[in-house]
Amino acid sequence: MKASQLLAAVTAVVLAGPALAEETRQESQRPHATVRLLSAPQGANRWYGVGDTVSKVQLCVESNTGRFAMNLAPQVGTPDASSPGEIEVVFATTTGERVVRQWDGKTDMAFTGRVAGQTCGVAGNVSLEFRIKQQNLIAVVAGDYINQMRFSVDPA
Amino acid sequence: MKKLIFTAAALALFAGAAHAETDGVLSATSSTGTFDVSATVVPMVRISGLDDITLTIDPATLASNFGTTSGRTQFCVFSNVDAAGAYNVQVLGAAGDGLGNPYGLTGQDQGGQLNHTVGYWDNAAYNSVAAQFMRPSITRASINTRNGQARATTTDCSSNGLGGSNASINIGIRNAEAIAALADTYTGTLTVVVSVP
Repeated sequence: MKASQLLAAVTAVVLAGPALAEETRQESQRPHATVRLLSAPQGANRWYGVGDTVSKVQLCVESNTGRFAMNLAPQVGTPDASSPGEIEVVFATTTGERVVRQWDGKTDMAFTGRVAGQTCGVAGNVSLEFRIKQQNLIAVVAGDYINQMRFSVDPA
Repeated sequence: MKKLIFTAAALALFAGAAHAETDGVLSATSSTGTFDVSATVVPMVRISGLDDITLTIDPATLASNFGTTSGRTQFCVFSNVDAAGAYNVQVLGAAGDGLGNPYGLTGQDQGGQLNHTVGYWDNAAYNSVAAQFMRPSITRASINTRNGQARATTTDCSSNGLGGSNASINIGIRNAEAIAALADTYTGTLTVVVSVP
């Protein structure tokens, strides 16, 4: 390699250095969010005729925009006709948001929230509560009712 | 044995479900995971709304009752065991003559006994032909809703147009028994036991 060619190559690398750094910086500024499941219902949630049943899920959500959109999709889209018809879902964040929805057990749900900082305590910063009321449980035939929920988080 | 197999299957379902939750993965776009929401409703039965039955047997009654003085109570049986609301039932009480009059009432003043029958029908509108003939020692199995009744979805039968009752009991005192008994006030207590099949 001639001296002029070597100089050109070095120049190119030197010039590429700031461009790569800028690209990395832009990449880190691109909106992104992650979610971790800290605790979820374990085992059978047995009901013996008195009170409501409550299943609580605690999540840790991180978003570099400070905001996020959460989508919940039931994996069994057509539950048994005799399953509890209405479930109360409470979405809450440690930044103070609290939304209560009546859910039919079939359709997708979406929530938006805010998170502060990048760390979570042991209880997380987002919780979901699924409450089936006594009058709905007494109306169904005895059995095991279960649905799997897929949750996803996007920056907002 | 059938019941044992069912229980094992239910436990297996939940054993699988307990491991179903997953975390989301680190991603530059979105992060996705899963968890389960479940409720297990155990089989339950409940009886409510029974009323006392009081009968007066006099010459006019004997002359017009077609052989038997009857009284009935309508009540509610809740069962979530299956879609038909199945349950077992037993009516406990003092023994009668052990034959056609299985139950007995006790005279308050003279201590005599007045024997009677108990008929059970799983509909509020009592059907004397189709009713179950009860005996204190026998549990009648697989009682459920009939004649187009919907299963009670509230424990007091206030739902599904049941109007508070979906079963009835009829007490019958045959004229021969009434005439043979001493004049008195006869009382007794019947205990209706409904159970999960």
